[in-house]
Amino acid sequence: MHISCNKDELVYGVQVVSRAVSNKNTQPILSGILLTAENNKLTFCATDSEIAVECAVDVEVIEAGSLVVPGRYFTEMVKRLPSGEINLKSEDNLGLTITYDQSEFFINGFSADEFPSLPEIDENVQGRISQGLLKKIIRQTSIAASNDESRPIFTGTLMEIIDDRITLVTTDTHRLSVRKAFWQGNTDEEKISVIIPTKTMVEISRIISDEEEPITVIVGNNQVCFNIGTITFFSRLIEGQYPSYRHVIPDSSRCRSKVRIKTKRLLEATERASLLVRDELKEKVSLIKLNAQDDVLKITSYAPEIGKIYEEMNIFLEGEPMEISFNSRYLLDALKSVDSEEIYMELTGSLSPGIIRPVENDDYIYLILPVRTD
Amino acid sequence: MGKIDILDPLTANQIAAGEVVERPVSVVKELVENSIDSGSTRIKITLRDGGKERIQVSDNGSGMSKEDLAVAVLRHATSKIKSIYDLNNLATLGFRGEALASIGAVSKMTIASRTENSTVGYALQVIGGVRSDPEEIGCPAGTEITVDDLFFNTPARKKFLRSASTELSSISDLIGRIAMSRPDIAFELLHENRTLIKTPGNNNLDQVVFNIYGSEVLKNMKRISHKHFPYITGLISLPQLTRASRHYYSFFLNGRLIRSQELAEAVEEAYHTRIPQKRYPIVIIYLELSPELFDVNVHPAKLEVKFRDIGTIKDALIKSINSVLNNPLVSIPEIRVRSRKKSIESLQQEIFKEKDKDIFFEMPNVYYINNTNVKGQLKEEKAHDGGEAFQEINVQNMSQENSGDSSFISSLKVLGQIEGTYIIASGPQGLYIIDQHAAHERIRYEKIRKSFQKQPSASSLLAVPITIELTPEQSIWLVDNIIYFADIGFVLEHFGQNTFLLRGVPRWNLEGNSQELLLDLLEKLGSGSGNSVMEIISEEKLFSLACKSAVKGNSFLTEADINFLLEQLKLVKNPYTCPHGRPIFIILTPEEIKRRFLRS
Repeated sequence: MHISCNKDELVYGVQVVSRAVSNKNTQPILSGILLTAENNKLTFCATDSEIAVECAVDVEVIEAGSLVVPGRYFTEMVKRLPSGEINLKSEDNLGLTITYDQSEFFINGFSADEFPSLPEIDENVQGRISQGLLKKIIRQTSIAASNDESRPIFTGTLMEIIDDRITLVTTDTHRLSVRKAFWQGNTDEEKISVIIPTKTMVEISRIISDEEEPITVIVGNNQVCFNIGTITFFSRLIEGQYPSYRHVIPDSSRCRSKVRIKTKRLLEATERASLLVRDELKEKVSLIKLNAQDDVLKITSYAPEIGKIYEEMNIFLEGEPMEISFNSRYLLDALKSVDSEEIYMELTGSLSPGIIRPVENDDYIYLILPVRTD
Repeated sequence: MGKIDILDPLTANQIAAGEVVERPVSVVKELVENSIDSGSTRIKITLRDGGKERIQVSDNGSGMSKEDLAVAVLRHATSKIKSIYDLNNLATLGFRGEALASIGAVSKMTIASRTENSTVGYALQVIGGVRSDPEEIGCPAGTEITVDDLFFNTPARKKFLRSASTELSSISDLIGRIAMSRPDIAFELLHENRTLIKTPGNNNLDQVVFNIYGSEVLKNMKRISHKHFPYITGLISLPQLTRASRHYYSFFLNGRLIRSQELAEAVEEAYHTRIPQKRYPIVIIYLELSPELFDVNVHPAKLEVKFRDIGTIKDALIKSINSVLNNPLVSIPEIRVRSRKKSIESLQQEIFKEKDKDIFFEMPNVYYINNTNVKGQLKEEKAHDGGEAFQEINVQNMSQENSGDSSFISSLKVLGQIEGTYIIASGPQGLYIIDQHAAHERIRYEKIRKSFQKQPSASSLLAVPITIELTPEQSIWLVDNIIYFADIGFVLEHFGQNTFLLRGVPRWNLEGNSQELLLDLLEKLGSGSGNSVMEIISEEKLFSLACKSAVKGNSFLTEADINFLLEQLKLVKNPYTCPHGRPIFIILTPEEIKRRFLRS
């Protein structure tokens, strides 16, 4: 293998795939990056057997070939190279010589044959969605996923595809986030639903841009694949049955109090109230009580050893007065991710789930379970 | 002809033998108890092949006359009760009159016995339940029973005997405990001509413990006593001496070895947080109760006892253990030099010197022949090696004066800190080394505990309930305690059979796995530690909270910090150990320092 390229191209490729480089030592080959040079393209590839990322950049290929280089050393070295033309050359599978200016750096490598081949997707459905929109809906849902590995289902994001609608759902059982969006897809099946590790979703949202440019999503039986031109991202799916989230969402006809609130005002009040955390008991979340009556929302929080807070704000209340307690963090997450100047809070009782959604539409629903105090 | 027959006496005895005579150790137990009941002051047990081949128990007790001997081996022959009414006032160990008949039914047994008043003794043999007539023989006063070839006529039972070493270890454990129950009797256990246990029988419990558990254990044991009803005496281990199992609990009720879950719980409650988790103390506890306050006829093995008023007894036991452990000099381990190699006798002397004065039992001392020799030797030894013994006495005396409070902390003068981890102070007993993390952990623990128990417990409700499947046993514990689980924030719903839905979790455990917490709690409830859900939960949670929030090792404290820490330490209930049972203080005594500098 022998190529000539620019430093920036190398850095770009290395940074895209480095997130998939395994840092566990069980399979040393997985700590490497596979470099493949052909057709005037250099392809970078890394996998930790959970996700796999492939990225191609334009280079001048003098001699085609492939090699695996140790991920960490290669990445750190590439970042520190001087700008300008760089030559990568490997005579055999023993290592790679990086030549820059009048200098050279040699690093040991592994044979490309040892590197696992990327999964082949048995395609069930393929569709396109704008990168900016996908980024947003991942942000709105990933917050509600669980980190508790003992129940893997809840660490995942449910992706449901029905006709031209794609829905992402997450829950850690304390709150539930449901985000619907349109996409352009083709499927013969009535409904596709898969569970994707939320970590994967977050990684993808980091790679993609805020632009309108589309990203292609391919869903297979055991894998999902995202493709934006030069970058391909594979991830395994989480096996299992996602709980039926629709049953959890109270029917809007049963809603007894519908409160229209200015998002920023409530967010700021909640942030202040969140400070009253019982530090002594190492709680990370404060308890916040909302009381809606006569177009006024009272917000209180009380921690015996620290202090208390009382705030009032004007709201628009349809229906009965209502009092409900929430864990402040869950409420904060909702208010931060709703992306709307005003929200509706729909309540059906102080022990029933409360719903937060933007006033403009029903595309986003964030449901919080209350705290029972007595 | 009818199908139902009355069993012939031989068969009946063989069946009944199963109840009393299961293994060699049960034979030893029955025979030794008989010897004790006959007023012996010396009992010698000789074994061959772990007791499988031969068990011989000889004593110097009252012995049996020719007539008694003839009927002794009959079923329900007993000298201990005359009628059912006597059962309530039982003061002897055996009473059912089954032992000799049962043993005779399954072995080749020889009994030789002579009363003190008679010039000749008599012997008879019982082989597989068939009894010979008593014959005249010459023998010392007392009784000697030899049991050969146990289970020779019941091959099935013989097959199930465990290895000789297993049998031997249960027998030596049993004799050890019986010897502790009666320090006034000299016991000797021999196996294949090797002496395993030999106690002097001079009514000194310390010497018994020394012979059974060794000098290191004895050094770390302390007396307890409860001087009014219920009467409790005994020896308990200091927090620095622990064992990995409850095996070293010995409870004696009126001299009878008993097993009691309730008493074990009381011991563990008293030691709770003083010793590391999953470690257990060594305790030897004597209870004196009048016979109408308990019932022992629960099982022929006679180990389990039912108490009429267990609450009072437990309270008294906990109180007497606490009063010893709360003593600062008991609870603060001392640094010692490893003693130079000494003969057993000199060690023994060293240990007994200080304790000899107390007479543990108010029974007359029994003269023990070997003791004279030992004592003679000792006097010489002592002359050579007197210094250490005296230091021991000093420490002991001081510990008695300075009973249980944390006022010594006020008199500590802080000298500094080493390694950013230990505080060095001088105080009444010498140089105090204080583990700052352990000290702070204890302070935090007691504070958090208070605040935690005050807080109302809110439940964070779940969008998707968690289905929990329990074992039938667990679900009983859960249902029994469901109110308490609700109190600490679990919202549970019965979902049929042993399945429950968890609809809400304690808010304070939001970050943790509440399902695991629930199962853990059930596990602990089921293990019968006797603690309530609230107690268990606060322990679980508080241990880790206290540990995390406490000042770590390797952090440098100013003098003000240290003084503040000690000030707070003064206010806690137990300033000697951290919640995990590790020590907070250790002491380097002036004597020890002197010794290290080789100044004598």
